[in-house]
Amino acid sequence: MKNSIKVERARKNLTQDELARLTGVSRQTINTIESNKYVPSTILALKISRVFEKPLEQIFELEEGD
Amino acid sequence: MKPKYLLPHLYKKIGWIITIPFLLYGIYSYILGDIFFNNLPFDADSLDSEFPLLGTIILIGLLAGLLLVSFSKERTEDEYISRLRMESLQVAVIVNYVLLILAALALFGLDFLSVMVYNMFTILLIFIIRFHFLLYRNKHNYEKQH
Repeated sequence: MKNSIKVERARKNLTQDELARLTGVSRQTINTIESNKYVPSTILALKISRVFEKPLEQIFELEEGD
Repeated sequence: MKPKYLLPHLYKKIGWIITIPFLLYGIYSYILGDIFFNNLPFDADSLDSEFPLLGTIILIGLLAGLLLVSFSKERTEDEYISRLRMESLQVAVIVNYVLLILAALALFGLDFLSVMVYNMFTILLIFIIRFHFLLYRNKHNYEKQH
């Protein structure tokens, strides 16, 4: 799964730390999601999409092989 | 996702405070004079003599300490930490039983029994080592990028 969290963060001018606090997880978790090492739960994905005020599909995208 | 079956973070410190002296004493008495081994509750000789008080205290103390360390929340216990926890537990169970199978093939009698003594603690020990290694690596990777 691909995601555009990094781009969306830049657009909203948020650091990983700030996004982590807004979604109630650790900075490291946001970091591992951004670097595609970890796929977040639906709940966390929905929280992230709420922060960016965008539908899920615009932030997370299925990849070939998923 | 709320983590289930985990104690508050404070209990982790308490766990370490209990574990370290019991672990050192357990190792010490095992090496010198075999007190630990001879005092374990299942030991055949001590069953018909007296209650193996020292061995029982060490065993329960060590297990309680290791359980507290293993199953207390991290400072920020989020879903990624929970996943690392589950993976570490899986690794611990697999490694533990592979070692036990190897021991069963290589040893018998009292030697095997002494491996079983270690085996009471190894699942938790391997879990703690693996989990903390992953936490360390995770933090280290993060700090390297920032």
